[in-house]
Formats: sequence, structure tokens, C-alpha cells
Amino acid sequence: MFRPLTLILVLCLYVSVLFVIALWGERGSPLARRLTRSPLVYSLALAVYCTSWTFYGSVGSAATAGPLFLTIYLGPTLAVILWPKVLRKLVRIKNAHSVTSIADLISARYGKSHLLAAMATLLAMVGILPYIALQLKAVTGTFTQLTPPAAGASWMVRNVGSIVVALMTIFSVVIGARRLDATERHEGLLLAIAVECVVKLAAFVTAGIFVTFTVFHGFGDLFAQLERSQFRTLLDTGRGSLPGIYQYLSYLVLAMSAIQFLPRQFHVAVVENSSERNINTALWLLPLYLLVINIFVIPIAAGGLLTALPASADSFVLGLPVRAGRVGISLFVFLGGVSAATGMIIVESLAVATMITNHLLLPVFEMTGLVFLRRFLLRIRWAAVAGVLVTGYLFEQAIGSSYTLVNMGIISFAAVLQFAPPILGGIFWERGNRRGAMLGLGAGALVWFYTLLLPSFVKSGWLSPRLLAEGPWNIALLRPEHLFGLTGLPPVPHAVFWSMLVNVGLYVVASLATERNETEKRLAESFVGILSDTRAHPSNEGQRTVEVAAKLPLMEELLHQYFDRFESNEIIARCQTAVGILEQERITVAALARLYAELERVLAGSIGTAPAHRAVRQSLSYTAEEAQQLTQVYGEILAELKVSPADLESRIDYYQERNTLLQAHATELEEKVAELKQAQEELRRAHDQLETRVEERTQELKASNELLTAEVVERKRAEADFARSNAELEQFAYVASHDLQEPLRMVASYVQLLERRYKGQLDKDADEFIGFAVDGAKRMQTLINDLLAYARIGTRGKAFNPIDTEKAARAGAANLRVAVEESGAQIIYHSLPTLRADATQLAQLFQNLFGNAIKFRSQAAPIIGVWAAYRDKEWVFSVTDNGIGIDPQYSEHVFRLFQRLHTRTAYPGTGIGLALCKKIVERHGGRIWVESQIGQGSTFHFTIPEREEATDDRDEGKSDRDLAGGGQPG
Amino acid sequence: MRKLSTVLRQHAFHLLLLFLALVAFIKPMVLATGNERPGRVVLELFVPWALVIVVLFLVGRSDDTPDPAAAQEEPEQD
Repeated sequence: MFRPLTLILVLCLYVSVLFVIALWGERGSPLARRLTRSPLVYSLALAVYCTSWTFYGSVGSAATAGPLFLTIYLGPTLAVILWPKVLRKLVRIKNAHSVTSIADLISARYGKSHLLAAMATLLAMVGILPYIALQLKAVTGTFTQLTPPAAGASWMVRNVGSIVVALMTIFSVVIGARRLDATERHEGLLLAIAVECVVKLAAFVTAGIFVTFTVFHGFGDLFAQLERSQFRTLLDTGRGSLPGIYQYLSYLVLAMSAIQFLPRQFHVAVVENSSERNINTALWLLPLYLLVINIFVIPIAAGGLLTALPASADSFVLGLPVRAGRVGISLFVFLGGVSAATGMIIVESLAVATMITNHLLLPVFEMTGLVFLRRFLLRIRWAAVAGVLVTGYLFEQAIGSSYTLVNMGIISFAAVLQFAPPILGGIFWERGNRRGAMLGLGAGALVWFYTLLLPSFVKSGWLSPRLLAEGPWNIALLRPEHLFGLTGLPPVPHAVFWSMLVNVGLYVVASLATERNETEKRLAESFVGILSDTRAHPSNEGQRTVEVAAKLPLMEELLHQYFDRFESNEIIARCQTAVGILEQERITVAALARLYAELERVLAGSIGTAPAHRAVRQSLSYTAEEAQQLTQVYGEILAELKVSPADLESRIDYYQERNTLLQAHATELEEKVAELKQAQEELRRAHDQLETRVEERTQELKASNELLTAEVVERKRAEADFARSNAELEQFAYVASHDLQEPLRMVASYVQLLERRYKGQLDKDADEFIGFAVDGAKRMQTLINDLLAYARIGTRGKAFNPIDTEKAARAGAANLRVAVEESGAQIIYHSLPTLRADATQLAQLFQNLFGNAIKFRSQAAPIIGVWAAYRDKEWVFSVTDNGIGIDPQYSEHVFRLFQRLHTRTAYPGTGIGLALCKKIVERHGGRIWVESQIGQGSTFHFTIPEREEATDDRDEGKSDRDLAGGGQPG
Repeated sequence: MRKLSTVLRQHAFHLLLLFLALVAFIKPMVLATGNERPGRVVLELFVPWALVIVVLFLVGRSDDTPDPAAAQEEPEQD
């Protein structure tokens, strides 16, 4: 028995030694480098497969289930037989694609799918975290076994788990997660793990030799005693019973898968592989290791049983030396158990932490906008390591002795078995695609959970036993351990059967039913044919057209998202060196493609293939010219590929098809260019035609303009002639009227004198004749007066001064006082405005309009209304009456000179009145018109424009005078 | 010897070895009667296991496939 402090010190000392070994291995001295890269260390490190489950559990399993435990080690031997093909492929894929974990491998194969990587990570987490708890449980259990019962209450014994977790976290972070690039080998870590594997083998063999040759007298004695004892059936293989065989076979299958697809196994075998040649040694050394460590399992189990060791069979390995009081052997065995547990804990936590960081946290950062956290990826990975270990410890504390945890080893194996179809299918079957892998993996994981993990929860007492006995909702067909009525299989074979049936079935069916995209096809071809990849490069890569300086900032910007400036530049320089273009200013486009690929590969080593692929695709690109050059280079690579005829044919078919598509696309583009050219030509032609037409039209317009100008000149001349003629005529009328007035007055006076003196003295005819003469003279006088008044409008007008138009209207009405009184007419004035006009002429205008209204009255007494409204800078006057009205067809006719609508006898007059009105209005620059219906009265409208200042009548009437021939008053 | 190496390198041989090993490992389970002596069962499992390891040793020795990754790192070792 040891004091707890002693054991803790021994534990710390042992871990310190491992730490020193690991640091020595990391420093990279020539000896350390040779050692760490040796196949011996690689093969021994692969024995991390043997955990405390092996160290302690195998004996326990042998004591209770006979040779079944051997399947866990025979299975790896069977799997190793295929390693020359399988593991070599995986290693080469890892080197080509910088694969960092098993989830990364699956993601990289199936289109670099983030979702698939996340699914694999989750499955690994669920399957592995309790397995880590199992290791911690073994360490704490053996610690208790080596300390006296009285020490159980001490702080150290109670917290040994925490101490181990702390030590393992420091060890894992310092040795295993010092760098971000997870694909970089951790030589020190590998060396330390190999040493641990040697220690645990040596410790177990020591315990076995002690039991076999000290407690007993060799194998013969041991087996003889066993045969005679009640434990004779220890090696009973089940007498060929079918359930036993199913169990045996399923364990073999699980172990075959586990040796390759447990995250820690994948990490050591693939990620930490420094040379494919190391596989040749691992081929025989790992199975040999497994064989040796198992030689003494049955003797120790038999020894424990035969000596009636009171403890659990799992503790026989340590219990036998302890009971014999062999302190040294006991301590050595304790360290062997610690080695078995810690080796697994360190590598598994690193592998799972890498998966969690790259495939769960990184995508979450990018989705939630926390991209700045990418700069702290290494620290986050440290936290993930600690998180995995602490979670494992909490599991151990919470469910330490449950059925679930005790059986977690085989449950974990069944979980990682789900990785087998997508991985093996991915490296051997090109047709396998992302949908198939996703469906198969997802469904397989669900079936594993339902048929194996869920029953373990029931057996741990966390769920009702009715779930197993009766199925959910009492549906017997859904009983987790007898799914769809399959009752002949023990739980593990049952789970393996259904999960594999679903996983493989969906993987194959979905892969066959759905098409792969171009990326998947390329990756599938690369993965499946990785061993025959000759990596041919074209002999002529073309001109060095790419400026490296132009590309460097893009690469720096990309890397700076994850690394500091110094590291970013270092990585770029490393990639340039790897591609062979260091310090070159201009490179070929093929070299640029290799540089991008190398950068993606290196970045994938830190953040995983899928995130690296996406990051490179988003940040680094080719110009159109570079892409074209790259296509040519690829064509040359194709030509220089040396592959089998069948493969070449299939590849040529693929590229021919692609080339055909590209040619078709090029032809289509050429046609479009030709169409564009034709359209351009037609456009140019149309433009020319348009210009010609415009020119012709311009000439026509010029000719028309000249013609129009000539016509205008002619018209002006005609107008001038007309005006002059009009003026002369007006002058003639005025002069004639004026000169005719005197003789006419004389004729009229003497005729009237004759009438007064001789009326009734002559005969009747003479009186009548004299009456005719008097009447004619009067009418002639009236006519001449009207004509004079008409002529005077243009020649005797006054200046336009502000006048009250109502006064003018009333003045006009006053001149008709007699007629108004006789007819009983009523004139209504509606607030008429003050404006600039000729007051006399305006009064005459109103007088004529009122006179007309009275003259052409109906039976009723005339009612005359006058009002005005201001519209568009002019005053509109309206004079309305209730007279006999005018036929609308004569609405313009009435304003003409000497035009009459009635006979003189019906309505006397000269036919000058309205013509005079029109002339007055026009002299003022306005218009006049009439609206009327027969029998409904008439409304005469005329406009007078508003004027700002007074103007001389001659100026104002200039246009009128012009129209009148510019004549002057005589 | 060269012919043997050629055979051992073949993938088909690996498949044959897998099949034979599987049969050898399953045989004691299938054909057990329950009257075997404990030592015999152990021998029936461990001897084929050891034989498989010997053959795997020969397979490992026979491999002469070049290692691209190691070839790239060789100058670094100098």
C-alpha cells in the first residue's frame, strides 16, 4: 500500500519524464529525429489502441466471457492485412489534402462538405467522450486500490481525477497543441506515446510473468489447475452456439473498424505518419504487440479466479501483485495502467478537439459573424482540449459505475463503425457521393443510438425497462434490442447488423440515385486513384505572365485572418519554396495554381479541408486570362498523363466531353459576337441612311424656308399694298363723305323748304315726289354721317387714358335717352372696371350695342345687362339683351360693313353700327363676337386688353392705321 | 525469392490472407464442442495469429513502393 502523496508524486514524476522525452523529441536533434521518424516508434504508438480497457478490462472480460476479449485484438490483425492498400491510401490522401482528422477526411472526400464534417464530429464526440471518462475511471480506481482504505477520505484520493485531468491538459496542450497546423507531426508526442506503450506492455507482461511463474509454476501448472477447477469453462467458446458466433463476428468487425477509424487511431496512423514505409513495420509489429499483451490475459484472469481474489476481475492485474505484497511490481503495473489511460486520453482529446475546433466552432464563428475569433484558433483549440478532458471527467463523476460507462468501449467501437462505409467507399468507389455519405452516416448513427446507446441508458436505470421489453408506445416491432422482430441476435451484433444495413444501404442507394457535381467527381477521382497518381506536369507551362507581387497581398490578407503577419509571410514563403518559385517575380499560371493548392493544403492543416477550401476559393482567384492559360496547361497535363488504357480512355472521355462543352460554349459565344457585329453594321448603315435623309430633309427645309420667306415678303408686300389701298379708300370715303355733306345739306334744305311751302298747293303726286326726295336726302345724310364716324375711328381716335367704363356706358345710354324712354328699356350695370381706353369711342361702342338691343327688341320691354370679367390680362365685357336674337350662322356676318339681316322697312338703319363697333374694339387691340339664338336674346362680348401706361392714340392705333394703309387724318 | 515478394505484394494475396486469417480465427468458435482443454483453445487462436504476423512481416519486407512524402523530405535530413 502506498500513501496518496507518494502515488501522486510518482504519477507527477512519470508524467514529467514523459514530458522531457516529448520535449527532447520535439527539439529535433538528429538522433531524436531519426528515432521519432522510425517505423518502430510509429508502430509502437499505434498501440495506443490498447487503453485501460485492454490493460484492466481484458482480464475482466476473459474472466467473465472467455475468449471473446481476443476479438478486440484479432480484429485489428485482420484489418492490418489490408493496410498496404488502405492505410497507404489514407496516408497519401492526408499528404495531398492536408487532412487533420477523420471528420476532415470524410469532408474532404465528399465535396469538402461542412455539414458532413460536423456530423462526423458530433458522432465522434458522443462516442468518445464517455470512453475518455472510462480511462479516468480506471486511473482513479487503481489509485484507490493502491492506497489504504483509511486514505480514502484524503483530499488527494478524492481529487486524483482532477489532478490527472490537469496534468493531461497541460501535457496535451504543451506537447500536442503547440502549433495550429494539426497536420504537422508531433514527433515528441509520438515518442512519448510510444514510450507509454512500451511501459504498459512491459508492466502487463511483468504482471503476467509474476502470476504465471511466481504465483503458479508456469503455464502447465496454471492450465492444469484451471482444468481441475470450477473455472474450467473459462475458455469455453460457446460450443458453436449461433449467438456466440454472431457476438464473436460482430466484435471482430467492430475491432477491425476501430483500429483504423477511432479518432486517436486515425490520428496516429494517418495524421502522424511520416513515411509510408513505416506502414510496412506496423503491419507486423502492431499485431505482434497485441499478441504479446494478450498472452498473459488468460493466465492473469485464471490466476485471479483460482486464488479467489475478492476484488472485481477488472482489478486482477493490479490486485495479484498487491496481495502478494510486491510493491515494485504493483507500482510498475499502476504506471502501466496510467500509461494505457493517459496515452489514449492525450491523443483522443487532441483529435476530438481538432475536430470540434475546425468543424463545429469555426463554421459557427463564420455564420455568427465572430470571424475575428479565427485569429485565436490555437487558444480555442487549447480550450477545446481542456473542455474535452473536463467533460470526460464530469461524465466519470456523474455516471462512473453505470452500465453505459462500463460498456462504453464496445459502444464507442460501434459508433466509429459508422465511419467505415463513407471512408472505405470514398477511397475505393468513385460513385460514392456526398448525399449518400450524409444519409448513410446520419441514419447509421441514429440506428446506433437507438439500438445500442439507448438500451445502455435503460440498463443504467435512467430510462424505464419497459422501453426494452415492450418498445416505445408498446410497439414491439420497435424494441431497441429486437428491432423489427429480429430476436435471434445479442445486443451488439443486433446493433451492428441494423446500423450497417441502414448505413451501407443508404450510402449505396443514394449515391447511385443522385449525381455528383464537378468538385465531387474531381475529388472522388483523386481519392480513389491516389496510389496511381503520377502527378504529371506539362513539359511546357507557358509564359511567366503572373506578377507574384500582385498576388501576395491577397494571400497575406487570407492568411492574416488566422495567423499574425509574421506567420502569414512565413507560410507564404514556405509555399513558394514548396512550389519552387521563391524569390521569383513572375511565374507561370500553372505555378500559381500549384501555389494556391499548396496554400490551401497548408491552411487545411490548421483549419480543416472544407474551411480552407472555402477560404481560398473566396479570397484567391484567377483572371480570365489566367483561367484560359490554366486550361491550356491542363490540356497538356492530360496529354502527358501516363495511366492505364482504360483509365486514360475514361479520362479522355471526360475531358473530351468537357472540351466539347467548352467548344460549344465558344461557338455560341462566337455566334453571339457575329450577331453583335452584324447588329453593329446594321446600326451603322441605318445611321448613314439617317444622316442622308437628314441632309435631304435639311435641303428640302432650306428650299421650303426660302419659298416661305419669299411668300412672306410677297405677303407683306401684298399686305402693304392692301393697307395702302385701304387707307386710300378710307381717305377717299372720308373726303367724299365730308365733301358730299355740304351739297347734300343744301339739297336736303331746299327739298324740305319745297315741302313746307308747297305741300297741298300742288297735286297729290307732287307732294308724294317731294316726300320721296326729302326722305332720300335724310337717309343719305345719315349714311354719310355713319360713314364719317366709321372713317374717323382710325383717324380721329384719342389717347388711351384711364376711364371709368361704367361712365362710358352710361354716356352711351344717355345719347339714346329718347329711345330708351319710348321703349321702356332697362339697363343694368354690373360694377364695370376702370381701364385705359378712348372714352368717346367706348361710349359710342356701348351706344351702338344698346341701340341695337332697343331696335331689335321683342314684344317685351328691353332689359339690357352690362358686366365685365378679368381673364388673361384683358377685360371681357358682355352686353346682353332679351331681343329677337340672331341666327348663329350670321354671328360673324353681322360685323361686316353694310350687312343687314332685315329689310330697311322692318328695321331702319345703315348696316354700319356693328362694323363700327368691331373697328373700335380692334383699335383697342381686342376682339368682338356675339352669342345668340333666334328668340332668345343676344350677348355681345368684346375684350379690351389691360395697359400699363397711357399711349398716344396714334401709337396705339398704329396697327389699325397700318391696316388702313398708314393714312393720316385729312 | 523475388517471385515470393511479387506474390506478397499483390492486393489479391492480401485478400486471400484476410480470408484465411478470418477462417482461422473463427474456426475455434464454430467447431468448439465444449470438451476442449483450455490450453488447446489458446493454442488454436494464438498459433494462427502468430502465423499471420509472420506472413505480415514478409509482406512488409517485400514492399518496395517508393514513398513520395519521404522522398520530398530526404534533402531536409541531410
